[in-house]
This record gives sequence, C-alpha cells and structure tokens, in this order.
Amino acid sequence: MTNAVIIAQQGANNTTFRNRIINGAMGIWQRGTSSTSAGYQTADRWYENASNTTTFAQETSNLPSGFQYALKLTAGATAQMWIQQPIETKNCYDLQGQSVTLSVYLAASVSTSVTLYLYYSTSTDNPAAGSWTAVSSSTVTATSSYARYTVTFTVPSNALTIMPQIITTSTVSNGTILYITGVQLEAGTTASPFEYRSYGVELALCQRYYYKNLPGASNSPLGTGPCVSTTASYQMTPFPVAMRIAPTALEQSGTAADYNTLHAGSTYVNNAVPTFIVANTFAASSQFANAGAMNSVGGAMARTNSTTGYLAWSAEL
Amino acid sequence: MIYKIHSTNIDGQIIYARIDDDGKCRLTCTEDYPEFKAWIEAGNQPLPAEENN
Repeated sequence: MTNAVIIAQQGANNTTFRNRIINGAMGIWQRGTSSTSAGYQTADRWYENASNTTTFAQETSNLPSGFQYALKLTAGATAQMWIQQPIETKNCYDLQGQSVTLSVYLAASVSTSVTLYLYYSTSTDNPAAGSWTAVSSSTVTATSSYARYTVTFTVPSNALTIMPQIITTSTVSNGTILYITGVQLEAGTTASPFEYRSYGVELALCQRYYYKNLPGASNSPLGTGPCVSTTASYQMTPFPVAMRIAPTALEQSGTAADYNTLHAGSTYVNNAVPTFIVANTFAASSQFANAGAMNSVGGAMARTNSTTGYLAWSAEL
Repeated sequence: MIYKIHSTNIDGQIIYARIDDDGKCRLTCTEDYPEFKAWIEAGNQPLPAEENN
C-alpha cells in the first residue's frame, strides 16, 4: 500500500486529528496551574467560570488510567462550576448539520450531577464570554471513580462556532471536587478511544491561541531589536506558530526588575515593565525601557532578569 | 482594576496600561483588546496619561 493510499484512507476514516478539542488531556498549562479567577487561567484553551469561589487547578494524582493530568475544580463555597472551550470556525465548519459526540472522563469527591452541553453561535469565532445558544444537553452523575461519559449532538446547519461545556448541574456544596480530563469532541455518533497527540503537537495547537515565553532563568532571551533612544529599545519576538489573530495586548510579570536589556556588552535593568507596541499573527514588538545610557543606535537583546520574567500574548476566543 | 493611557505606539495607536488592584501593571494593550473593550462598554473610562505614576 502506498503512502498516498494510507493517507487517503486515514482522511476518509478521520482517524487522525479527529478530536476537535485542543488540550483535551489537560497536558498544557502555559498560564499556570492554579487560579480562583474566571476566564482562561490555567489549562490551555479551557475557559473556567463559577457562580461563587472556586479553585481551578492541575491534578496529578487522582487520574484515570493513561492520563497524566486532569483539571480539578474545587468549590470554595456553595457554587456552580464549569469549563468550556469554543472551537473556532475554521475547525468546526465541516460539522454543520452533522452528528458529533462529546466524551469526557469525570470523577468527583462526592456523587455530583454534571451536565454536558453543546452550545453554538451563528457568529464567526464567537468568544467564550459571548452570547451562545444551547443545542442540547445530557446530565450524568460523576462518582468517586472515574468513568467515561458520552453524549451525541446534532450541530445546527448554520453554526459557525460551537462550544462544549461541562458544568455541575446545579450548585454544589463547599469543598466538592470535580475532576475532568480526556475531553473529546468528534464527528459521528460514537465515541472512539481518546486521541493522544504528542506533547509538541498539542503545545503548538495551544500556542495558536496563547503564547508565553517563560524561560524560568535569568538573562534568557525574550526578543531582539534596535535601540530607539538612550533609554529604550523595540524588541521583536517571533511566535512559534502563527496565532489565530494578531494579539492586541502584552502580558508580563508586573515587575520592571524582572527584565533587562543587553546592549553593547552591558546589561541595563528595566525601570518600567515591557510595553505592547504592535503585533501580527507571526511576531510582536515590545518596548523595553531603562534608566541607563545606551547608544541611541545599535542592536539590543531583551532578556529576563529573574526566574519569573516572561512575555505572553493571547489570541483566544 | 483600571486602565490608564500609557503612550502612543509607532502607528499612532494609543497604548493602555491595565493597573491591577495591587497597583501593578501586568498588561498593556490597544483599544482593540477584548477585555478593554468590555471594560469600556461597561461604562468605564481610562485615566489620562498625565495621571500615570
């Protein structure tokens, strides 16, 4: 059998990249591993929310067989807790009018009713915090032992963005824990085994939506570019993969001293945090400023000045 | 959390600084940043540049 035939058959059977969920195994955590805030805060691509105090955190011990991580939702008060992931139009357009099956591994500290929704929007690339319409839902009961739950939906023929949501059916009591991993959404009416993708592939898929350059060491490069004055340089950082859209913001640690500029053999510690200048889908430019006396011309390298300095850009839905 | 006008970029776009409740700036953005747009739509106004620390 030729490679062309194999590839054609794989395409016809949709055996590769059949999972439309990115980071379904919760293996990528660029932003961090614990948060009590709503939004994109911990596991990449997962938008988290709750009606009251809830901690969203990485779980590494209580896991179903074959999984290294889960997302752990802990109610810090009586709360309804949920996560959701909007799927951009380019990655779900072919599902219009089709059956899709959502599968997920769930466990809970106490028997907990969980509802699995599919939402849709007729807007292109509708954001997670936007307006959505429920296609339908199914309610299951998560117990102390992991089990895989599946539900099949029919995607409306005019859907341009779809979004699975995993939500406690109602409020749960303070201290209730819900574990989620192995989330898969695929075409068809049956759930196939969870599709494992290599770490590098999954990270690249996530970096289309969020990229964080966190070297974790001092004097590690963050960008290069020209000095534009004796106290500032414009630093260009290429993205490892093309982002979904051009970012419109720059995130950093909030501490100027976490950053420095290497210029003409000397190191100039920042006196202001790095600032967004401009970005496209392939690269971003940031301003690094210091109180030193750099030459107003010549090249410079933006670097970390601590283990906590980072630059990050978002192109999330 | 508030936003302040920070500077103007090389394309003439205004850059805003988000000031978190602890007083730190962890994000700078243009007016097209979705969270900034939502903050403005909620009736807020960024502080002018002259009030930057």
